[in-house]
Amino acid sequence: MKIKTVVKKARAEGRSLLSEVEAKEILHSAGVPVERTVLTTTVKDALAQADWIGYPVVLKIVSPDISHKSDIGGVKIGLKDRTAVRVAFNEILANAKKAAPKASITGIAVQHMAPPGTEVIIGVTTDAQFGPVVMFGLGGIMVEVMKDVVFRVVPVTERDARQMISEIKGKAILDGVRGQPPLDKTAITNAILKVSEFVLNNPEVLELDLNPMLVYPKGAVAVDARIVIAEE
Amino acid sequence: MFNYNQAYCYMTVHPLDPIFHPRAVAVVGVRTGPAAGMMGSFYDSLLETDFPAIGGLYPVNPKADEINGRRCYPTLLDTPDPVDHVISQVPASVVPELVDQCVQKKVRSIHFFTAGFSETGSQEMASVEKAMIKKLRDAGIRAIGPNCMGMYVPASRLAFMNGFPTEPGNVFLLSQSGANAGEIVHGLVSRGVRFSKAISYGNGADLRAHDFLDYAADDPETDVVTAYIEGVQDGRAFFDALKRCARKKPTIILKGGRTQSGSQAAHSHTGSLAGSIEIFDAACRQAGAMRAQTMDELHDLVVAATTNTRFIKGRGVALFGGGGGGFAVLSADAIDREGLTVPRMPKSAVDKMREYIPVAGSSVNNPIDAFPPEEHLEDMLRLVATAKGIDMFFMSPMTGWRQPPPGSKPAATGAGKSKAKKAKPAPVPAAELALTQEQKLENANKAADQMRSLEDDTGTPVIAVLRSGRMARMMGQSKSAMSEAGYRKGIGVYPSVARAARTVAQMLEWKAYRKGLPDIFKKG
Repeated sequence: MKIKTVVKKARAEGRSLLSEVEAKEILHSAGVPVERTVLTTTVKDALAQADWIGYPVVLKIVSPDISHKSDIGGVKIGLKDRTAVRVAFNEILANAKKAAPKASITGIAVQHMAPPGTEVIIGVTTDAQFGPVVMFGLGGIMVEVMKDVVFRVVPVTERDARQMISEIKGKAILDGVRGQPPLDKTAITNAILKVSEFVLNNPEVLELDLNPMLVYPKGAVAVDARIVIAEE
Repeated sequence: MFNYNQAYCYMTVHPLDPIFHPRAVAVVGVRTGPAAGMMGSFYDSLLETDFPAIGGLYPVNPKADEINGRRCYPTLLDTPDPVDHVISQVPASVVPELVDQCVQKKVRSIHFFTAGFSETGSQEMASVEKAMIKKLRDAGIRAIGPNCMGMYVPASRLAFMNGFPTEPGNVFLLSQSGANAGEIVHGLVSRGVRFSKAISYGNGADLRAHDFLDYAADDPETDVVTAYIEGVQDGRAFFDALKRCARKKPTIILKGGRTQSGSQAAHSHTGSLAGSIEIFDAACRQAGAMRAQTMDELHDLVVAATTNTRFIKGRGVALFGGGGGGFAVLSADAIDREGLTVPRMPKSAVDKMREYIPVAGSSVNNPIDAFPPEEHLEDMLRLVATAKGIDMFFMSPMTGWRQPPPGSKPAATGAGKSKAKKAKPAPVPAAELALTQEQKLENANKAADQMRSLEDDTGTPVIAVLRSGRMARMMGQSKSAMSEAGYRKGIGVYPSVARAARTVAQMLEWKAYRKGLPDIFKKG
């Protein structure tokens, strides 16, 4: 999917927030490592996708009216087989209808469930003075409570990206604590560079969150993505 | 043989350069009454620097025929040709007329001290400002301001306040605020720093931060750049110019004004975490520039970037103080707090020092809280400076200790061994503390020479930390004399141990994050 097409569609529908499926699709095309996610509208469809992606999978509600998906029971994780997918699909729809009866439901997204890893966040915001800036930080509680994040103005060079990773206070976590193996900093560096390149090439992107991105001793992948585009 | 053609090839003059070297200056709307404080006495300042010795200086005011015995012209058009630079002190309402006259007179640049434009928040005055800048630019005239103090260029005898030295230096200052420009110049001058150029650019309607940074990056007269900035009009251009400048020269930025989050929208986590200060900091760091958090830090970092402080490579401090255990303890704490260390001296060095200072109660380990007898001082300093783990030497300048007042008899202690036994100097009567200015200068110069030769002999940077109150008086010093004298010998002089330690730590951090960029802290 081309970003221009996605942006045009969203604007036609009066949205500035892209859906998770849209966001991941265009990020994937741009070379940003994301756990790909497929939109389904029926149980049958969801089962077929889950079979193709491989278990375990995650199901998530896709709705322009529902922002915090997990708060309303719109996310089911660790679905190991077809039965679990079938049950989860119906439950999510029921939860969504109960919590937000008026919400328009686009469908349910199916994605492969990434194995547990260390959570980091990579994001973009548009500063009034400097334009697009990239942010990096440790995910989860570190970003929520400690606000342990660093910024760089786009375009970000490899030197900048490496510096960002070594500048956060909790950097020891990436080096591997308590006998854990060190995490793949090169994969994070590459992801930061790809994100920088992506926003440089697509000035309609105002904000972006890869939150969380899971980092492993080898490789990294974003399991959730959010993109805000500029209004026309 | 000197090859002019070849020399010409290397000579590239920045388009802004002529602005800093006007052949003649007209002060339009010059004050005719008594001087009204520090701000706006441009004409007086230009007389003080003796600008008329190198160029034409024309006061313009229709209300006077003569000012300080010099002819005063009714309008800019009545002044002799050429006039390169105009200082506008006229009211905002008269500015459009003056702009027309500048175009007619074919001046190069105009500095608007005049305020009352876009900074008022008035839409109308913002558009007046825009229109006048357009008219000037169409005529090839560059503008500084409005609402600012303009230029201080010692080599061209331009100054915007009284009391600015005409001696040029190697520091370039740009400041959005006129008052802070004055504060930085006066503050740093008292530390010994001299300027290549200092510009207060106010609203920056035409020339703004990025133009001056771009100029400073290539200015052969500038080695270090510093700026006071509140907000940048064109962030991308600023960032690019800052990158270019900071790659080549130490660049120190003080940012004023914490504004609300700079992001246009915050629908994302990232947007909600991004404050304008954090992003400004990040941009400076990314560019390789240094952020000063306070005016004091700006002063200290400029001193550091232009003295031996910039050559310090490690974290080990030898502290040579005197003045009691309490001072040593607090100093060691301050050094430690900044991530520097006060390494213990090797046993061989301690034993040797004990020979010099056989006094109980004095500490001959680091921090060293003892005064050796004069004849051992040099040896002992060198012993400490070259000890293992020592990367820098912090010392209170010590010459002038027990200096007798003029005309009094020298203290009645015999020379030689008997004196050597006395580690602590005899108490000095209060009356003897009063030294003449000449004596203070002499002491300061002696101390600076002592520190310079210690550094040259040992290769260990020697940093001077000043003492306050009675201690300074007992040491026969004036802070300003010591600051200047040390600075002229390339010695970093700081008002306290805490500030010296913080400055060193900041310089080390700066060097660390500049890894991968050109080394701008090399010797020579």
